[in-house]
Amino acid sequence: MAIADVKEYTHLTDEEVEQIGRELDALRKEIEESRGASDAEYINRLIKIQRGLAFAGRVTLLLSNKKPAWALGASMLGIAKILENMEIGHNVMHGQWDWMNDPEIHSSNWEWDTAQPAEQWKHSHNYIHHQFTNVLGYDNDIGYGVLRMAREQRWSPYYLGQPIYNALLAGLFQWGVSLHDLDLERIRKGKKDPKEMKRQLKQIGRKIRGQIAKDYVVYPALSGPNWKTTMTANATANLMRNLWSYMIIFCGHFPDGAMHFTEEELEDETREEWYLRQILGAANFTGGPLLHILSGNLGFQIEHHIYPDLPSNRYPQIAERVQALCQKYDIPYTTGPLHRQYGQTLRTILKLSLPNHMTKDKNPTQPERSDTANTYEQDLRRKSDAERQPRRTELGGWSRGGKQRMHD
Amino acid sequence: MDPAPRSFPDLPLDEELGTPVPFACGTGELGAPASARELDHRRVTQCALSRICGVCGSGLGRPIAFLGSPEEEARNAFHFPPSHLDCAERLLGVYAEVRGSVLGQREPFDSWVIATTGGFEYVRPRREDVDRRATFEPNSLLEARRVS
Amino acid sequence: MAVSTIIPWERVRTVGSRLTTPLHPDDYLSLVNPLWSARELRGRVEEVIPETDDAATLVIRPGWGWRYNHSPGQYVGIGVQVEGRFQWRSYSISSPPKRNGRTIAITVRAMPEGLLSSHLVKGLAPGTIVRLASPEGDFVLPDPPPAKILFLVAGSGITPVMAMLRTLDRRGSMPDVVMHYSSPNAERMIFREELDALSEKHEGLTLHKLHTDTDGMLDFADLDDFCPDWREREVWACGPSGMLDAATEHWKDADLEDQLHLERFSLEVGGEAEGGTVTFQTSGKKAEADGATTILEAGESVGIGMPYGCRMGICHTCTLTLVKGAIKDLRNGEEYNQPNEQVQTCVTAAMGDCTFDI
Repeated sequence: MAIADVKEYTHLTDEEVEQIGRELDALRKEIEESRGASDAEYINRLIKIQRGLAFAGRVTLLLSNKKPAWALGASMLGIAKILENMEIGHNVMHGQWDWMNDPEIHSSNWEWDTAQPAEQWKHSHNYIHHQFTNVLGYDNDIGYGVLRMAREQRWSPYYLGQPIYNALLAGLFQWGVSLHDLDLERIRKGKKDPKEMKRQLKQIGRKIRGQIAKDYVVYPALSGPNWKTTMTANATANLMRNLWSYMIIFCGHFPDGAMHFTEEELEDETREEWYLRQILGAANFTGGPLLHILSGNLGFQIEHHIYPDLPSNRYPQIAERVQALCQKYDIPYTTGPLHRQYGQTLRTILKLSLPNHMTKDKNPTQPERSDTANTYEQDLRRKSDAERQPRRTELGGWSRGGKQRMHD
Repeated sequence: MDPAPRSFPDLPLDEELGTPVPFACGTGELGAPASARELDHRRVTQCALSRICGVCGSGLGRPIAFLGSPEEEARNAFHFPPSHLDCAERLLGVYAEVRGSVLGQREPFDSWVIATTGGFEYVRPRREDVDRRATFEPNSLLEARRVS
Repeated sequence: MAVSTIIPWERVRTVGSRLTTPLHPDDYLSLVNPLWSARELRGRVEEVIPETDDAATLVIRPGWGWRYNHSPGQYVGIGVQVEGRFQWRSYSISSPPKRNGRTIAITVRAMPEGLLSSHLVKGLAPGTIVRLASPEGDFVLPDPPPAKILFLVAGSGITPVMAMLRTLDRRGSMPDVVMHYSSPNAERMIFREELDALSEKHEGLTLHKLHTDTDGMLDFADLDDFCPDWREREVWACGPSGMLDAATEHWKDADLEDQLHLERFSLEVGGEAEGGTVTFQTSGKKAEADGATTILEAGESVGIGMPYGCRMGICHTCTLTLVKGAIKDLRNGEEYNQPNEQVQTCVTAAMGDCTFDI
């Protein structure tokens, strides 16, 4: 079910693939050239709103013993955290706003309000996930090292507990994310560089300390006698953000239409083919403007994957053009209402907790293929950065953020 | 095993040239010595996406610097990935006198250029492109300085 | 307790950052009033005073973190957001340093091909918030000034020299000054009335004006004609690079290079400090550094994860607390020796032993 060659899968000729690439490049140039004052205003306004909400939430929670204040404060804080995590932090760190040359809104120094250090996020997300999107064995986001999300992943009785792990991951999502770049699976297999692991753990430790102190020590202390209710309110706000971001993120690559790819696809992949893999490997969902802002415009996951570093407020406009392009060339474009996308994701989680012979391999309607991708039960060992392209075996490195004060 | 990030004095040396090999040039095939002549396209991609410096491998600061030939400056398309300004200048200090193509440069030229910018676009090669390497296009250019 | 305490604002803001982590309190304060942030230097344009058709003086009120101690002749970086993008240029400060003044003034001449200067002269409305970079520059008049001075300026190069003249006037320390000012024509000569008034007021100030449209450009061979004792003068020159190159040659030929001071906009790391032992108190590590190694480099050499950004003194990401000891800014020689002072580490070097809070 995993694709080994996008061109064959989509039945496109060389010229057509090239043409698609050209059109997508032209669209990109168009957007790049039209970036201007109104886009700058958008992000600045959003940041102002988000910080205002956070401030208002915190102040309201000083009276958290009163139920209405508790509910209002927790909601405002939760929404502030959601906005910062999704529409602001994630996008700024992708470099979407670097074009403004504003040192306060820049991928080189943005630190976001969640347990994971920005530098590790940029490595595991910007590089690993966006470069090797949905390629089995390379993209660590396929299952996050915890869940089995592709039939090609070898089943073991451990996965019977998948529904539980899923629920835990959802509730504790920010902690799962914070450990993501550590690559627990590689640590388990003894393949991780211990020095690097130590450095990363220290970095994570510092970030977590600040976050925990803020939400569970400092603010409760400030609210005096209301400390208990403030703590619960903050925990609720964090939970809100965890659940929401978990759901949105899982809807990005797990609905039925999002395909997986094998290692062979990466070989000599051209820019045009990379575009195609991004389109086929991602799934959108539909909704109104407010939903899209709250979900960091990841309802346009396909557009985000084609242009990860273009400003997110442009994705709706870009989506119209990309959809038209896909229609023209009969390229599958996966989208649907949010509840259906999540429903399919949940179904897959439940289904793959069982061994393959017990469930039906329900593929989305696709053209006939002749690729050799149907090798099940592959051992997809976790790779280091160096092993991600065949024929190279040096180990890659990880980035070191400028603002991280780390002692070796 | 090649640890990164590495500060400039700790970079491995190119055996042929005796000069430090920046992060973006990789560490050579299994067993082969490090070479500063060609860029390692995996590392170039990694620098682009993780936003790390092509010389030392640690997170980019501001401004972002690009080191290249006058032609790259004219086309606003650099091959060597983004770097710290300090790292780019140090690299230039070492490579200004080296003859032959280094750091991914294919054609000879008179003077290096250091361009500084607030941000950049990462452009992958198209099928029809003869040059199969990705390029970087500064999108908020601050200064382009020729250094002979 | 009869002890008067001055609230150390730095301390308050450090404690405050536990409330706002990973952000800084300034990130919230600046949303209320943009000037309430020392994270990135900023200022508000208070007035735009037209000087000539194509030049204007901007009166700017800087926000937190600004030190009102620039020397006359220094320049400041101004960043303005044009169509969403920040563009940076450097302009000379034309206001003299004032102890209680809360504004600085820069004079800008619009270049026809200059994107930003035209915008600043014609399009910048009072109330606009601009980004600032700390004053720097080695084009600085010493105090007390030398007995004999020659100013050679052309076009907008008058600006830093204007600051110097105004300071000399205010301090009442105007020595023997010969000034040669080239401009295309009389209308485009900025500050001409003020200069006329100053030369009237001060015996020692002699003003020579040259209108290049009608009379051609200054040829340094003619220096003797209006300033026969030029060899005995300390010279400050500011103008287009052609003129500065010609001046450099002329003074070099006379073997008097040291007396010529030119306006430069690049960052030359000049001057040396003494060096010493740098202690990083949180980890206890120490580094032996010489006078040309910056604190940032010293920290990195012993494995400390020093914060940094541009590494050239503009962005202030590298700012740390100097607990005790003294350091020197390699760009302009300024010394920092107050306990618990906030200093940039990427352009400073140790002057004796010093300790940092990291």
